Amino acid sequence: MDEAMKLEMCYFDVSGVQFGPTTAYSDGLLTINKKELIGLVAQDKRLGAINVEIACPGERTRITNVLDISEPRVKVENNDYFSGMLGEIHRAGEGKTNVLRGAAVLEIGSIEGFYGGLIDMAGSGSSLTPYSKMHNVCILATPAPDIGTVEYGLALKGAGLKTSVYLGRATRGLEPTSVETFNLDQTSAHVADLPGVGYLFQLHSHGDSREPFIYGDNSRRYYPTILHPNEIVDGAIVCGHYNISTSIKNSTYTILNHPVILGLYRRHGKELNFKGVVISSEPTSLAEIKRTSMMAANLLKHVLRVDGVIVTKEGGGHTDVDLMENCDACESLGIKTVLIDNEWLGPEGTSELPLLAVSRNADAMISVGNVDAMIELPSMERIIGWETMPEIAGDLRGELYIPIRFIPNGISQAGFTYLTTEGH
Amino acid sequence: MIRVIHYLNQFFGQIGGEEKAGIGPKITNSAVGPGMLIDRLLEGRGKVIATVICGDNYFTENGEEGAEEVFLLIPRQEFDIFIAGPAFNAGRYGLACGELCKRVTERLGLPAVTGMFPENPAVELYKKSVYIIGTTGNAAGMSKAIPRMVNLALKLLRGEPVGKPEQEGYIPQGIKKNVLSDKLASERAIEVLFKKLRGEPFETEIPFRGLDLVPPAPPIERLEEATIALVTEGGLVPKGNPDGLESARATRYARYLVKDLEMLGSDGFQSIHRGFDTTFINEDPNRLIPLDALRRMERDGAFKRLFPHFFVTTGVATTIDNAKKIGKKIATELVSAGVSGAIVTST
Repeated sequence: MDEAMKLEMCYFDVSGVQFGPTTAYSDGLLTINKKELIGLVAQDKRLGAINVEIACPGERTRITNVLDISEPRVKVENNDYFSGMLGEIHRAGEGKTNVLRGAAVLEIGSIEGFYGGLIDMAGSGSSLTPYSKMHNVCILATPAPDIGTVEYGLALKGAGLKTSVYLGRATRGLEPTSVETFNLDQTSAHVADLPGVGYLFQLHSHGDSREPFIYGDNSRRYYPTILHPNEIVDGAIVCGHYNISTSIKNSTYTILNHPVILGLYRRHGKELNFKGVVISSEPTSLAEIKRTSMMAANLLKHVLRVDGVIVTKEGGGHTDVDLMENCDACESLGIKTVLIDNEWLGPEGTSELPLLAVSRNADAMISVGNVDAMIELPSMERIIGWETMPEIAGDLRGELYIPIRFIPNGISQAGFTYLTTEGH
Repeated sequence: MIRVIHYLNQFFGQIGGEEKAGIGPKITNSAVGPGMLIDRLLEGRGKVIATVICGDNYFTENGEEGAEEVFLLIPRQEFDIFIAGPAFNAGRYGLACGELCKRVTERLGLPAVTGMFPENPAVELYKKSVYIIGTTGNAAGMSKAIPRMVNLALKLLRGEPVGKPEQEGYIPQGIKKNVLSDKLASERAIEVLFKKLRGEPFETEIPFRGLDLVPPAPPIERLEEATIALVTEGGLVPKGNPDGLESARATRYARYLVKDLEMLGSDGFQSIHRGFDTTFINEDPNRLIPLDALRRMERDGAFKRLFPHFFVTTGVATTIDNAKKIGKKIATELVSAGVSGAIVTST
């Protein structure tokens, strides 16, 4: 078996989304049979009232209580996607994947303990997140009576993923706009001479509703392990944390379009040798964190044999500890390490320390911005979602003065943002 | 026409040297000394309409009253920009310039700029709240400092974004602002990694700010005579959170009386902390604050007395500045109440 894992991403560009009699994709236009889609989502009896709405770029629309965002996709070979979450288990990362590029599926819900995000489709807020430029299919669902936060979250997750696959299936048998092949070829002679680079992808793992799923299972049940980068950009990991602020978790969309993985991939064989990805949980005790970082660094150094690594974290200040322990573990094995992190600087950017844990080895850090910094948003004409959100006072339709942490991918710990800080 | 008010001390205000440092404030309706340069720079677009002059000792030795007396001379006339100094390395003059700029900015909402030598002791006090142009140690740098001060003040007046310290010439304020880069964070990370791999110089976007280590207190010598207090950052409050303690980003703390309680009941207390799964704490709050165990130890005489209140804040996404303030206040309360030891539980 010397054949490399090969993934073909078949992109179907979306320039418009509308409701209509039949769910279909044609010439960039995605038409959705609303009744059929609601019927599909309503099969999950853990959900109560269900609605589907569409939000397009430039509309004076504010989407509230956004818990996760995914991308409509389907695997051509098995007509399914999000392996381990839906249907039978299949290895992600090989074969053909159809992607409705330019569209997104938003899970919208509200219950005490869920912390959603807010997306403006026009105005100043729309420059802060890629989701403002997408055609968004919004799934709104309340919990059925007596359904608690964890089950409600799982049901919303299912609703979002099923919708993504349902829409993805509209591309079956059609010609894509373009195709990109992901084939991490290690065989050509000169690849071996390039610097070996890896990616250490920390995944939050602090309990139910607070962690992503890997092939359908909670991240806390994983020790550090190697995944082929194809698996990650092809649905092996999905966001599952609704009990965490939107700024400190990776949306499913971010993982499917992971900017570090794609950035390394596109340089593979030219400037670097992309050796692979280690995923690692973020345990809750220091002893576990030290064990995890030791194991992760060892996989990078002695199994993948990397010279350099990028490490990203997921979560709040607690996970700065994981980031710094991983940095120390990698640097102590001679791996050149670059970290991506957000900063905690208060609304005015004046707080004394930007991080909750530090290390002298962390000499190359990329900032994705101060989560506490305030932004002004203009009033909007239409709301999709609830009329209230935790920690935002006032009328959500009106002008808002809120911290940037409410905007999904305003802050992006995986690096899917242009935001950074500048010293003044 | 841009109307400028300028502040000078007795020396630059051409009243006299140290022997005149005690004179009280006065106001002149024209430019004085360095103010002439401001007039020239504005080239007819504006001018210094008033100069406030005060002796260094008068300003610094009369406390709040002195500062307020001088400040109140400024808004007597309508103006657009306040410029103070530059004070170079003069400590008392620096304090006056910093304090007046701060009051003008905060209370009048108008642009205010001063200038100082970076080692002027007033810099540390005012750099966060006031723009201070970096100057030489003595008046030799006047002709360089004043144009920078005026340029920055004009920029503030026009509401234009202020550039980085090295572009504008002001002393870094220790403030970080969010800005959009032209490259994704992931791309910048890959570029820095290349530099690091090649051994080339690279820049970090989050500099190492040093370790803030707290030396442990010495052990309690006579535990049997000690009063012990319970402190937590775990957000444990009476059911319903009567004081509205923040569930994240705390700015304060609370204390609750448990003098007559043997243990914390799940019917009486709950955690409102949003940084962890609170299920297990809400089932049994003694898991967060071990009141049950400490009552047993108190009865057994392991220590003399449990302090009647527990102290609580919420330690999640709290800024370090707020965390330090909260910690200091709790510690001060404990020390003044004669508490000799505290058990601080963290989540």
